Amino acid sequence: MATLTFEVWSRFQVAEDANKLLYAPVADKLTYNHTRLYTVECSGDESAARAYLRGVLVDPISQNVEESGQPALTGELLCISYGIKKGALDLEKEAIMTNYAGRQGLSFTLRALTITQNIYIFGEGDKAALAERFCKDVCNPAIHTWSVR
Amino acid sequence: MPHALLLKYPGTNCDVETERALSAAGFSTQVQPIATATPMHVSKAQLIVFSGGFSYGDYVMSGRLAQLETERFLGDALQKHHAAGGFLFGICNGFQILTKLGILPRASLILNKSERFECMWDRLVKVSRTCPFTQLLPDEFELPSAHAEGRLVCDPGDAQKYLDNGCVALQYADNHNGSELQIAGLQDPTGCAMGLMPHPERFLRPRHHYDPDWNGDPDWGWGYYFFKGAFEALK
Repeated sequence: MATLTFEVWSRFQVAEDANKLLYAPVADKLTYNHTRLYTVECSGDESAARAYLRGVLVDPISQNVEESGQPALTGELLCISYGIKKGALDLEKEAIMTNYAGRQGLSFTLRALTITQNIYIFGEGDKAALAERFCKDVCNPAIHTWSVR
Repeated sequence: MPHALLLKYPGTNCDVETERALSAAGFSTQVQPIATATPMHVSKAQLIVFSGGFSYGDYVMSGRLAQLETERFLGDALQKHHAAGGFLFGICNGFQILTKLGILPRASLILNKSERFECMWDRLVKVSRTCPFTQLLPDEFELPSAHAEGRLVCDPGDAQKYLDNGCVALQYADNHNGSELQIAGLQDPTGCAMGLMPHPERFLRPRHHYDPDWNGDPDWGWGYYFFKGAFEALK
């Protein structure tokens, strides 16, 4: 069993004012970028699985992808990673897995898929306090789980 | 009577208006959900239409899952239809799907420069002189737009190449979504396949215009002429 990761982000993305993520602005001058991380458990022909998933998840014209497992962006003050809770309906995951399940003759098996949104926040400030503020406004405890690094 | 096949995906929401526009232009039209579509449906049609909406919730990126499901259910039937001179027309999400399928010149439609959904009327400039879909339209006209992912981007240099070799069908007069070279619609080199972000089916009649005194045409809105142009070329 292998774990493949694809962290995808737009080549045309520019750093936005992080206050756009909040209901009430903070005084610190912060910006943010976002990426989407697909973590896939698979067995069988790993290179075929990687090629298939790259074709599904990445737009070669407009997006970059980091497949090494290292964070796609660096230099952030903090990064919030959030995704749909286990057991809750993740429609994007279902759509991807349904398409995969309908494919014939693939030399690999996709066992599991997890989709995570990463919000990289750049600037200076009290990391712990800001993390709490951003998580409160970005994540919904009813449907999301999240972590901060 | 030319026959049109309108492929419908979960999340397609402009199929009724588009079917109405096709019928008004003279086509016999079949709306077919992709899960029950077969190459046989494609072979019976002269025009394949992809209407607007948010297929598969725009998950992964707009048009991606529709592309994958189309390939799963229809194989290369659309490419064969295209190679044989059949017409294909993509509106909004349909444009995104046609680019992903590789039927239109290589490009991608990404989040608007504003990073939000925008709904407004666009002034458009007709660029191509060879496209049957735009043949009956004036040099400048208006259509309504409604999209979040309508900013056309290409590999470096490609947009200019498309403009030079006649693959740009339409440009925006005001480029609100930030598309490269203001491109609003692309066509293949023959003009048989075309996609655009604005919605012609939403301006079928003069009463659909925001100005109640609009008098550009007594009977039809500009959108009608896309469908009529295709009909005239196929009849």
